[in-house]
Amino acid sequence: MVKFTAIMKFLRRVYLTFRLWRMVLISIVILSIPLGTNLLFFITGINLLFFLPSPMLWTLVAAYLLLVEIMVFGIVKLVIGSAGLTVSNFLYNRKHKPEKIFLPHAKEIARKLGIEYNKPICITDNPSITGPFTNLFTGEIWFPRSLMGKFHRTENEAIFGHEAAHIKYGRRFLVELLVVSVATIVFAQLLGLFTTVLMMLLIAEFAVMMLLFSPVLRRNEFRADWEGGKATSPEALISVLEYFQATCKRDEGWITHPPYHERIKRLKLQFNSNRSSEDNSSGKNQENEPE
Amino acid sequence: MKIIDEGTAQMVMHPVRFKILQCIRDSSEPLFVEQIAKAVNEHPRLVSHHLDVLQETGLVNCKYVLTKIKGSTRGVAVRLCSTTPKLSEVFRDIGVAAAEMR
Repeated sequence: MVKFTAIMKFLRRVYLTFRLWRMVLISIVILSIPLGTNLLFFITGINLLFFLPSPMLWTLVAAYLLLVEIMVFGIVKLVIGSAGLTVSNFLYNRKHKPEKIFLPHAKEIARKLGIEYNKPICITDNPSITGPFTNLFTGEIWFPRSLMGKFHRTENEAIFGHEAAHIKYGRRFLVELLVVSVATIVFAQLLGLFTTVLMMLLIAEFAVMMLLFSPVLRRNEFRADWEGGKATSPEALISVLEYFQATCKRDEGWITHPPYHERIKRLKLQFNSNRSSEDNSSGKNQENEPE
Repeated sequence: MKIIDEGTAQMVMHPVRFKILQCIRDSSEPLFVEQIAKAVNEHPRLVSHHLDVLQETGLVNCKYVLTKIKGSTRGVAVRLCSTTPKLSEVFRDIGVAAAEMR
């Protein structure tokens, strides 16, 4: 029974991945770039290898891998939708400078997370940005103004905690992405030994990429929720997620983000863990229910 | 509208907070956190958080009273919540705003 549920969950994940047919088309077009260079490298490169001196050969291989990696990251950004966000934000900020403010307890929250954060958060009026996000490379945290007014101070702090947790685990997350993208490339290379149909290769690489990326990206969200909740208040973060859950059309999640009900369920585990540690320390063990 | 300008409407528009407010308003007597949590089917700690927000906004009055707990001879402080006059004003304003939108 457990196995059947796990299979159903897996199939649902596959369905959710492939439902994004527009993304699939865009990715197929763009994936042809690294795969094209792959083919080119194998057609011309093998002959070159015999003539190149060793250091030059390794530089060439390193440069080639770097190029493929940059392309894969670009594709991933495009697939998960953050590429559009980055471009939109860049264009919008050229005309409208974001307001920068310091959250009252930001430093304290960051210290609880074990990081130093001395930057202000950026508040944008860009209508295409509907949720808070973190730029892992600059370490900036962005909030849409429309959202800030909807939540209480403690809830905004919880959102900040979540985003700051992304910064804390940023490097580890990037390494995980790198490992997954290398695994995808290796898979494509191996598959390339058995098939010469480029379209089949592209679709298979995309499918593997999405199936490998999705758990990594989702795990990153769960981790940020857990750490952010611990550093601020799990209640406030749950409150924010409940608001999003009520306002979204279907609570099915996204490639990068798990469904809200799953995130809320996991955050509620903090209540039990916190309570048990409090109970153990104070010796309390009774239900607080009036007669 | 005043409730939108001062941010009260935004605080009330949260689905769980709205349910909590309705629950307290519909009750004939002040309610404990546990009772509200059972009525709205939420965790008591989550209800406490929402009550903090609502108390800060001035929509709910909370006070701690001593009461006896099952299986205990000693009194325990529990949070008793009731509505404020501001809440009925806010509900009325929301009704007006909704009618105008229609």
